[in-house]
Amino acid sequence: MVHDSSWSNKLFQVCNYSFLILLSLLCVVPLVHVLAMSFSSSTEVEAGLVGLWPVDFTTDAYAFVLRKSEFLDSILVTLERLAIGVPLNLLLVTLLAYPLSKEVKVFPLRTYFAWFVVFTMLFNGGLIPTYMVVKETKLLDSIWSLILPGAIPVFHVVLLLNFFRGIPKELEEAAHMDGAGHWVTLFRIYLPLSAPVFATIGLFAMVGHWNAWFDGMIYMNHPDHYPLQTYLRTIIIDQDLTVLGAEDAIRQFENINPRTTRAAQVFLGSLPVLLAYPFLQKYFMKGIVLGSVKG
Amino acid sequence: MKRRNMRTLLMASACVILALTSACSGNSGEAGSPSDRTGASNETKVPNNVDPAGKYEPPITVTMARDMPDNLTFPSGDSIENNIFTRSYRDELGINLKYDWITDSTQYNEKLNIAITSGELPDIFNVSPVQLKELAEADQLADLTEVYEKYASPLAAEKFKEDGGIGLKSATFDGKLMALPYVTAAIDGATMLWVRKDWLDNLKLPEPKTIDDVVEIARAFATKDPDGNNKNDTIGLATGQKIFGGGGGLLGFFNGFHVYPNAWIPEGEGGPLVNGLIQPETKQALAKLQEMYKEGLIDSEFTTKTGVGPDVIAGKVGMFYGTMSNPLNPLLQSKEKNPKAEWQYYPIASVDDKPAKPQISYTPPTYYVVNKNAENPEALMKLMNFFIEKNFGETADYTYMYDGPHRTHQYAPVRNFGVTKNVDNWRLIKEVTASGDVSKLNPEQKGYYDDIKKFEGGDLSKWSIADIFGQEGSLSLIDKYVSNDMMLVDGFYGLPTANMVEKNGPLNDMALETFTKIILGDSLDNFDKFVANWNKLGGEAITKDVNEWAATQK
Repeated sequence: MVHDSSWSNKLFQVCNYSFLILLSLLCVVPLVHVLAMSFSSSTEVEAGLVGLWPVDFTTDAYAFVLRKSEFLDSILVTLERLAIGVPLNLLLVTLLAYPLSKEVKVFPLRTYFAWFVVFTMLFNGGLIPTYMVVKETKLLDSIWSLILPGAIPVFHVVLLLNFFRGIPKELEEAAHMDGAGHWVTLFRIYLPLSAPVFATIGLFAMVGHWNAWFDGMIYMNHPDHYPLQTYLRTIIIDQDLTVLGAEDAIRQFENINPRTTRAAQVFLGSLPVLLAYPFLQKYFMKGIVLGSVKG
Repeated sequence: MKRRNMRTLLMASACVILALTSACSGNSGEAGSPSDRTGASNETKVPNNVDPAGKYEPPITVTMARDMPDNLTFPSGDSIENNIFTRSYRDELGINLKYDWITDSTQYNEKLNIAITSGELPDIFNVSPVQLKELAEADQLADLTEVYEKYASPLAAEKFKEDGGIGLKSATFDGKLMALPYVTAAIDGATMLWVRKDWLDNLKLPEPKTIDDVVEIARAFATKDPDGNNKNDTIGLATGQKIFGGGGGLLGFFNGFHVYPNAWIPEGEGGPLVNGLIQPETKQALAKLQEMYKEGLIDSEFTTKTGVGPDVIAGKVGMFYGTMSNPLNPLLQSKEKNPKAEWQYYPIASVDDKPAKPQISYTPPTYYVVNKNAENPEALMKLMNFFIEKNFGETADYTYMYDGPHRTHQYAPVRNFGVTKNVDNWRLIKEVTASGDVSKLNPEQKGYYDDIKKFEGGDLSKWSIADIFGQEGSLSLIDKYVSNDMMLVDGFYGLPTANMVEKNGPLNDMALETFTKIILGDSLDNFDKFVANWNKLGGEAITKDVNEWAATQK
């Protein structure tokens, strides 16, 4: 960037930075508010007196949440999903992107397969047919229903494919000269050179799996099997107490999730992603740009 | 050449995809319909015993779908699939309950919609009014007319009549009963005015009997520093942004002007039904609210607030329209924060010498239905009889209601409590308080009774139960409303018509927006424009539907 110290440029810098700072505040403030609520006493929160700093500091909410079996169960489901889902995503995406990155000379049917893959990006069966497929393949209510239907994100394939194309062909040729087959070329030459893009799609896959809630809701037949975000949604959506009958009108109020524990769960739920992002971010930028520009 | 190849290939793959999908749906249609599994016919089967409480020999299996209430707890070892109800069903009724799926209550509707669309319905499940209509019209449900006549126990039939039979009527299509309604305790939702009694006393104000009193009190609360902290931080009349809401809205205020938003009332004596929203009186109510807002008597930020709870707890609010259950929330928390806060309820104030009637609706929020392919449609009635018997009958057992802290009644997938349960409890507790004959109370009532005694002994945490079930509790007002016939019952209790499903949402949004803007200072004449628009954008069609429906009910 050229450093221009003219008056107009300075003005631009000031506006630009204020705008960006404002934007960041918009993202950070709600999070801080949730954090402050989770460390405040219940009465103060219910009275709406908590802003960005805890009032009447207490860790009761966390003590309660960390003993709450539904919350812990749902975290286990999500961890299982990540442990199986992310590696599987990466493996399948790699295995698909590598052949598709070859030229038609090397892989004659490349164009057809490419279309076949891209087609799924533009068109899909819709909710009910997808549900039927998952049901008929007996995946309902198992962890695989959360993993297999989205096991090959086409967007990631395109990213990786373009990245592979950016790697000099001479490397591959040299490897072939030395007797390497495609497997060896892929795993010994291409993969080590693709760390940034793997960090990117790995992060995408991780965040995607972490944040997904809808599939958990429709494919799981038992609340015990809900992943974290599906569970969090159930506690955050306010029960409409006006439609409850006589049975609930009286004692139900005593069983409502206090807002402090909701806040604690929401914060704990977003913590891992918050922690992972800064470390992967540098690859993240590189990966996306490399993948897209050199296509 | 290449391009042509490509096109052929695309077409070929399109064909393959089409073939695949059609094969798929055809296949699942067959697999999904239980009729193939069971070979049951559509007509109601004549069962081998007609005893409402009779046991199936050999036991049958009934599949169900279930919405799990929030924060449900179980005695150790129990679960939603194995608890006091499922075991009793098995042992006493010979019914093995099997849940096809269980979901959180907030997600039940979405999940059920998927099940309906994909044709994967369990034997017994509960549906919303809209879903009931769709399923009944699509001929997916079993006719329960005969089942109800033969199997409803006398006690159950009584419970189903507590709402004047409105629930059952609403579930009847062309003379056929297609569902069992969840009879709603609508009277518990009647609005009342909650006022800080200690503030009234501080400022030596009279009780709110008329709308003018309400305005006067709001003015004093807003301007005369009722809490004595020398700060101008109090709200006269509080409301949330949902001004048509009963609890923490302004519904009670509108009712005070004899205005009944979204209730269907006869125009004149026995005239056609009209919507209370668009009547001339509504304009007067809006004019008063506008005046109050301008003077600062209504919370100036009400449009940003979802409810009155936080301000009530924070001690800023002097008055709001609520319901009989408010002592549990937010009034108890308000007392926890400031023990000096004294909350008193009053009947909603009227604008003139006619008493104000809070509006209620008996339209059931949910219905229990049976898949038309289910082999034992009468099982639903048996489950219902069982629940009512165990909670209200001769053999009532409190463990089917509560087991310590566990809300066992929620384990039952099929429930009904009738309309007057809470008021009945209040009446009996009052009687027993006078006579001292505690043996008349069932354990639930005894629990309330004990809580009241504990409160009188100084346990402030029991304040809310005492303030509801105590002699002077909020239920005494509900009792008064009921005994003096002081409630306005919505004249429409049918299922939503097609026009309602499509247009009620936008119409309600428009009403809320227009009314809010008028309160904030828009010209009152916008109300007339609103009425014209409301009629034009579907209100007229809905009014026609409602009156056609009313004609069929006579």
